[in-house]
Amino acid sequence: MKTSLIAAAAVMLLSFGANAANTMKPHHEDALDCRTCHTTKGKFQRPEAETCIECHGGMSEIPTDPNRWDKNPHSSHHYEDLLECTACHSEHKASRAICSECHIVEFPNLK
Amino acid sequence: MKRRDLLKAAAILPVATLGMAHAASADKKEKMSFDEVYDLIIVGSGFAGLSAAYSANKAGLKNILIIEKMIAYGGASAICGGIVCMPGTKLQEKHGIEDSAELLVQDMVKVGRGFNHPELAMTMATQASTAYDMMMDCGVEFKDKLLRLGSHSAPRGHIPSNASGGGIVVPMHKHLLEKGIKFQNRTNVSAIISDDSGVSGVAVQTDFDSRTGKFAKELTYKSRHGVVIASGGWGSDKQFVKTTMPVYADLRTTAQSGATADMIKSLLAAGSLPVMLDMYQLGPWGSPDERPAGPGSFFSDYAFSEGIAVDPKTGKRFVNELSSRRTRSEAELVVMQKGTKETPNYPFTFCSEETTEHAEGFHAAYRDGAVKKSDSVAELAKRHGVDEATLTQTIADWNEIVKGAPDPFNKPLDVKTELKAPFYSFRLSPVLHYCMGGVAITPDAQVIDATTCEPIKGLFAAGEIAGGVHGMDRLGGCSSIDGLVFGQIAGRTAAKYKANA
Ligand SMILES: Cc1cc2nc3c(=O)[nH]c(=O)nc-3n(C[C@H](O)[C@H](O)[C@H](O)COP(=O)(O)OP(=O)(O)OC[C@H]3O[C@@H](n4cnc5c(N)ncnc54)[C@H](O)[C@@H]3O)c2cc1C
Repeated sequence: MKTSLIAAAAVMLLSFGANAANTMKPHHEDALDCRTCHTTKGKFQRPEAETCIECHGGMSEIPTDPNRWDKNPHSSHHYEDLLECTACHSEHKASRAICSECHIVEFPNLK
Repeated sequence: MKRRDLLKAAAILPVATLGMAHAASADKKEKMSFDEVYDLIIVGSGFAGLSAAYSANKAGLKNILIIEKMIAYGGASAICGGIVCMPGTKLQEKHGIEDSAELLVQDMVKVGRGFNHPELAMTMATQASTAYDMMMDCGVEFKDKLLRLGSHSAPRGHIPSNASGGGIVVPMHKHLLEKGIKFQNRTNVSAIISDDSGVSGVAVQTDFDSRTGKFAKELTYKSRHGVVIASGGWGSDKQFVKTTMPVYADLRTTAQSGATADMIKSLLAAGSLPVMLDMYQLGPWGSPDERPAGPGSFFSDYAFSEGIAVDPKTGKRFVNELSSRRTRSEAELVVMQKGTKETPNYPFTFCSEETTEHAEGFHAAYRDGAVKKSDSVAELAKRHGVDEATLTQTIADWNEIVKGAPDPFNKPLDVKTELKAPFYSFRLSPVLHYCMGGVAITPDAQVIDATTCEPIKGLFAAGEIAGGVHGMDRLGGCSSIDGLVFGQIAGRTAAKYKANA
C-alpha cells in the first residue's frame, strides 16, 4: 500500500514535471491535460492530425485570417489538405508556418 | 556486430568488397529478418515516386509504400510551377499546334549541348502522352492554354489549373491513397540494403526531423520487387554543391530544404554509376529582389517572351531572351561581372502593361516589390541606371522587330506586343535550380553498376536523381515530364522484377 502510494506520488510528480517543461497554448490550458492529445499508451507520442481535427474540424472548416499576401495555408495550392496540422502548428513550442521557407509571409494569428 | 551495423557496413562498403559483405550477411541469414515487408518500396513522394506507385499498382502490385523524409509530401514537385511540356496531347491538338516527340528531342539536344543520352531523351519524349493519360486518370486539370518556354520550338507547356505542381501531386497522391498505396512521411531512408540476389530493401530512420537530423528508431524494410529511388535533387546541400562545382558555392538555390545529397551518396555506396554530378542548371529568372523562384520568376517568363532584357551598362539587349537557361544565365553572369559589390550591374527584363495582364506571378511580385512600375522611359532608365537615350533607341529597335524587322538575336515571337509605357521591370541574378547529374539508368529505369556497366539487380531510379536525359542543361517544363515518364517506367520494371529470378 505504502509503496504504491509513493509510486503514485512519483508518477504525479513526473507528470507535473513534464507539464512544467512543456507549456500549453493558452486556449488549451483550461480544457486539456496531457492525455487529451497523447492518447496512445505508454511513452508520449506525437498526436495524429485526427486528434486535433476531432475538436477543431478539418482545414476547410478553419479559414485563415485574410492577409496582405493573399495566402491561405488551409487551402494551399501546393498541398491542399494533405498537410498534417503539426507541419505548422506546435503545442509545446512556437508554431512555424512552413510556407515561410519559400514565401515572404507572416501570420500574426498563427496558433 | 549488430545486424543493423552489418547492413550499414554492407551498404557503405566499396563495390569491390561488396561480394565479401554479401558472404558475411549470408552467413547470418537466419538472423537477417526485416522489421517490415512490402511488395515495393519507393523513396520520395514527388512526380517520379507517385508515377512509380501508379504504374506498379496498375501492374498488379498491392502492398506499395512511398517513403518521404519531410513532414510535407511532394518535394520539389509540390512547390514547383507545375509546367509540363508534352508534345502531341489533346490540348495541343485542340489549339491547332503542330508538334512531335522528334521536335522536342531536337530542342532537348540543342539545349543539352549534345550531352543527352539519346535513348533516354527519346523515351521521355515519345512516352509523354502516357504521362498525360495518367494525370487525366488521376483528375489533374490543366488551363486551356499552352505556354512556349525558352528554346522550345512549339508552345507545349501545360499549366495546372492552379498554376502549381501541387495541382498535379495532390490529385495523384489522393488517387493513390484510394488505391490503397501507403504513404509514410518523416522517414529518412539512410541506406540501400542488398543481398545475394540484388537490392532487397532499405534502412530507415523513423520520426525523422529534417532540421535536426534526430530520429526515433532505426528499422529495416524489405521490398520484394527491388527499390525505386525517386529522391529528387540535392540543390540545398551546400557542401555537396561546393565540392562538385566550387564556382556555384555561393549561389542561392530554388531547392526545398530537404533536397540534400544523402540519397545520391547512398546510391554511389551501392555501386551506382554517376553521370554529370558537377553539372547544375541555373535559373536565369532569379532576382536579387525576391527569394529564389518567387512570384517574379513566373512573371519574368512573360517579360522575357513579350518584352526584352537589357544590360544597364550598355543600355542594350544582350541575349536572345528565349534562349536556353544556360545561355541566358551565362550571359547574365557576364553582365553582372561588369558591376562591383558597391555598384552592382544587375541586368533587368521589362514589358508593357498588356503583358502583365496575363502573366502568372505578376500580381504578387508587384505587390511584394520585386517588379516595379515606371511611367516613362526616363523613369525606367533612372531606376536601372541606364543611359536614357540608348534605352529609348533599344525600345524603338525592339518595336521595329515586333513589326517585322529582323531580330539580331533571332528570338521567336508568338505574341507581338509593342513596348510602351507604363513599363514593368524586374532585376535578374541567376540561382541554382536543378541537378543535371545523377545516377546512370537504362531506358527502363534500371540503375547501372559502376564496375560492370550492367544494371544493378533490383535498383531503379527516376526523376531528378537520375542523370543523362537532359544532358548538360534542360528545357523548362521538362523535369516534371521526365519524372512522370521515368517514374511510370520504373514502377513497371519493378513490378516485373522478382528477386532471385
Ligand atoms: C521552385 C521550382 C519550380 C520548378 N518549376 C518547374 C516547372 O514548372 N516545370 C518542371 O518541369 N520542373 C520544374 N522544377 C523542377 C522540378 O520541380 C523538379 O525537378 C521535380 O519536381 C523533381 O521531381 P522528383 O520526383 O524527381 O523529386 P522531388 O519532387 O523533389 O521528390 C523527391 C522527394 O524525395 C524525398 N527524399 C529525398 N531523400 C530522401 C531520403 N533519403 N529518404 C526519404 N525521402 C527522401 C525529398 O524530400 C522529396 O520530397 C521546378 C523546381 C523548383 C524548385
